[in-house]
Amino acid sequence: MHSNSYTLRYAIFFTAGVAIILALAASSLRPMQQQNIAQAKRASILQSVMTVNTETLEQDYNSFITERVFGIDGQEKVGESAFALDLKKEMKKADDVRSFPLYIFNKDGQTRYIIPLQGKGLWGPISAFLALDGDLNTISGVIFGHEKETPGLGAEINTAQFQEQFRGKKIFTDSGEFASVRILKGSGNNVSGNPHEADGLTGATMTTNGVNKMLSEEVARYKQVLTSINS
Amino acid sequence: MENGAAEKESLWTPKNRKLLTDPFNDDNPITVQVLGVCSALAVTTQLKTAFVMALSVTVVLVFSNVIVSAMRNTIPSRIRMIVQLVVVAGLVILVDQVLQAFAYDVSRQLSVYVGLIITNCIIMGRLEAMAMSSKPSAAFFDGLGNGFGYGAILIAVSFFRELLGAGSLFGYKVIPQAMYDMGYENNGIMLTSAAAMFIIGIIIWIQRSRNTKLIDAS
Repeated sequence: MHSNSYTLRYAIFFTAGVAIILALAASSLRPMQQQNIAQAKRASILQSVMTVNTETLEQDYNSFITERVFGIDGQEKVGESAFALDLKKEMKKADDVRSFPLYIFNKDGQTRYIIPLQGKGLWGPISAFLALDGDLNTISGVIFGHEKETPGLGAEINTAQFQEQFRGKKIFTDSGEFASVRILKGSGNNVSGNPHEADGLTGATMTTNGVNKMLSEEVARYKQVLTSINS
Repeated sequence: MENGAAEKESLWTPKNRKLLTDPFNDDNPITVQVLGVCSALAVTTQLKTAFVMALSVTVVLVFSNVIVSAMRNTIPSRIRMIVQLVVVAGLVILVDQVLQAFAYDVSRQLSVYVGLIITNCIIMGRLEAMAMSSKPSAAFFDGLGNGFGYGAILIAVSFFRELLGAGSLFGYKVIPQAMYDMGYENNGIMLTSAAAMFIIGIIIWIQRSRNTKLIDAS
């Protein structure tokens, strides 16, 4: 049996030692980690509109993407960086002071508008990059991201199979009403005829609810931005 | 390290071999020790995730077993569990941080498992049962064996769940479209945790009926 003072000393030095090792590791690796995160974000943005080649990623991003920031009224906010904007913080602000980033993709005369989105899944944050065609209505692609959704269930939102079905869906009805795209409950629904519905994922209702909220409420806030770009 | 070959030979004793192979059958962490069942239900919807999880747990199990075994004589017995937990958690976080910096894609795949690895009962169970009372070499083989034994069950369960629940293996469709056209449907129950419970139950049943050592006398 060890003495009380030994136990106490052991606990203090041991935890302090582990804490120092972890703190050193975390702070020395941070620059590389942040670079990786930024790189992954650029990759996701591009991925929503084209096939990404990791070697030319930075070059492609710089030559094809224009970053712009708008207010909710569709007025451009000059001097803010869309890429550096923290969406999570922005979403906590009131709509009229909030900034809305938009990425515009331009290649070979084709224009795509990419809306970055942020929302809540079951276990943590989820995100999306929603790319719209030049008509600002048809979805040309979407990339979902998540941090800790359940593998095999909620995490399925960022599989190609799930994301692919959004291509060609529309966010406005024929009469111009905002309708967005809603993911139905469960999988195996027939959604081919409806431009505003997508097939869901069995066992991932909470995650898809989060995606639905992002696609409806958050995209709706871009209405003015989209109209002002269009005019 | 200088006489690596000689050392390897002395490590490869029948006792160590038994430590390595026992967890596959007689002493399987899931079906016999009944540890780590929670994660076996959670991450076995697909072969790929089960594989990643099995690999991560094996790595953490081996390292934490060796580390705790090496410091077993200094650990005050009254706080030994906390010390073990700190070793495991510190190890997992360290590995995750390094992966985030150097292998970001792998880290994104693993992110969700990090919490599950730390709380996996197999790790604490083996630290208590093995590492606290044996030499690092024996603890190493015990960790390796238990990691593989755990992985074997995970892969068996996820094989059936992915095949019957999604009609695919490792993400590739294996059930031909013609079958679906004829009216075959994926079994949605297989994707729920309850199905994993049934499959593990069936595995335990088969294992016990074949291995008489495991049958209780009563």
